[in-house]
Amino acid sequence: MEKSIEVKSVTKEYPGIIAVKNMTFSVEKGAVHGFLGPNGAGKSTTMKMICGLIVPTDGSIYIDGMDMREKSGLLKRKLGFLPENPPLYKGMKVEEYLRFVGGIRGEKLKRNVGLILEKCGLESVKGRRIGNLSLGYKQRVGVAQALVHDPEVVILDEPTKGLDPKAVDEMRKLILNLKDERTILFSSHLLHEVENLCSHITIIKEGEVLEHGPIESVRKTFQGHKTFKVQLKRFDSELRASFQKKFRNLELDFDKWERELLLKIHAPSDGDRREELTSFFVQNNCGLLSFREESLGIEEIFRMATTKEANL
Amino acid sequence: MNFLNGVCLLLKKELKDYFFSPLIYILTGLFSGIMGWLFFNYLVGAKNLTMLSLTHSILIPLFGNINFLFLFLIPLLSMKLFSEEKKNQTLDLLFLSNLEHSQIIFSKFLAGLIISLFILSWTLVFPIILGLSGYNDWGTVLSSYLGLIFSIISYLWVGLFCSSLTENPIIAAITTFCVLLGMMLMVLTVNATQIEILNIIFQYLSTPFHYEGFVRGSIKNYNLIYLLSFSGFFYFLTHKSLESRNW
Repeated sequence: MEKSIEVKSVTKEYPGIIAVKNMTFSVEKGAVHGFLGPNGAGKSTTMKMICGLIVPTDGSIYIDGMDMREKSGLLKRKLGFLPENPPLYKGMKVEEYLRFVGGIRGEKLKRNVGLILEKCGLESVKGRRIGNLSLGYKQRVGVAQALVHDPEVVILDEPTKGLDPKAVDEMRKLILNLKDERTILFSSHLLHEVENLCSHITIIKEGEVLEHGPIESVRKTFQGHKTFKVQLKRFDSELRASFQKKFRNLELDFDKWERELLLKIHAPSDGDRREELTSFFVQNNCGLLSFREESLGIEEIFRMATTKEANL
Repeated sequence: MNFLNGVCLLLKKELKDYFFSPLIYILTGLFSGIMGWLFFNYLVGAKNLTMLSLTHSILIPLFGNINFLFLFLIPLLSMKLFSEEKKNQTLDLLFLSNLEHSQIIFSKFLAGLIISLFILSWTLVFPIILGLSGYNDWGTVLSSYLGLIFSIISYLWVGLFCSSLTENPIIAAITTFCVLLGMMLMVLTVNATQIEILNIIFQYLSTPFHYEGFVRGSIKNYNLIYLLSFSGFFYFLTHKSLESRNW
């Protein structure tokens, strides 16, 4: 698959601190890529380096195969960037601001403004001063300025920061709208949003990449075993003995809900035991109500990747 | 985007920011009030109203005061030019655009200059009043205004550079004022030192020395060289300051 962003062995040093250490990862063309890490991990610094706002101390960044150092002028046109704090002129009106940004990005792009206003849901507030808008609208204006010159790659640094659940939902819809048309790299602390939107993730900590790749493959790295959740009507001691006799290497956890039983079965990750297990419950007339494989959530993956225990 | 288009685009935005802010009207009001009061006092205090006495007892001291007041006005006018952009992170927006650093610097400088000239323009009423009474030494008036514009340009470059150093407009204003005051006080060093070569160097480096040349109506080549080299030096420092994010 063609790569849109390639970060190769990038290091950024400031006096007395290394913000980013030998970081390598890539973002595939057309993907929505989540960039995760605890506060101070180096996400914003990396994003600014990708945009050419900060020059790396060492290493290279490629956008569409072109080196950022050599063709920064050309590549800046391919990039749209929403920093952590949207760069807004609060005294300007929304439409006036977008026209100004369109103007400094290139005269011919002014005609995009109407389209962007519509896409970002800003038509109703286009005549209002940015300083008077709610946080959700300000964030949308921030996204709109990143899109006004029709970039191929959009980098969003915490676009959902400080938003209420409704505004987060609207921002999610906006990002989903951009999907398929552009490559999107975005960071967020709302991990379930990342899980909903992204196909790939990169987890960093203290300036280093901990995990990188499609969510499923990262999930497999951390998932040492499979867990099945089974809902049954009956599972007495006789059935339990028979189960443990048949499946010696599986562990069982019980949770009783009034008349139903919830079983958690922990199995080694190698081999598919689903058919075998469901057959057992059906043949023994356990009253199988539901059976599903539980996968690790992105929050657990993030926690495991960023805690020391996971690195040991 | 050619150089002028980029400069005009940002200049328009900067001027709009200035004229939408109450600061400019407060400063213009204060400045005009103080100058009007001074003009009235000089006029009342003048013993005889000949052409020569009007120039020496009213206009030259009046222009000296205008120059001195701009020492306070310029830090206030230039303090937000870069520091506000840094604080609101809008400078990154400009860096990501098609604008070159030089376009950003020149448009901000021009905005500051236009605003300063707007404030200065209110003082035109004084020579006009004198002109209505028969005063016609317009050469002195013109060269004095050139001298003031010369000083304003120098002060603005310092203000622009100091504003690019910090995110805090107040710190930018205080730093600009200190640098400008230091340059003005260099005249005292000129008087204090006995070594002739140092005397000449300090005299050349102090802005008021060159301003006086304009007011006397004797504009020399080195006055213009000073203006160009001073502006060039502070433009270079501002450019380097903007580039420092890459260090």
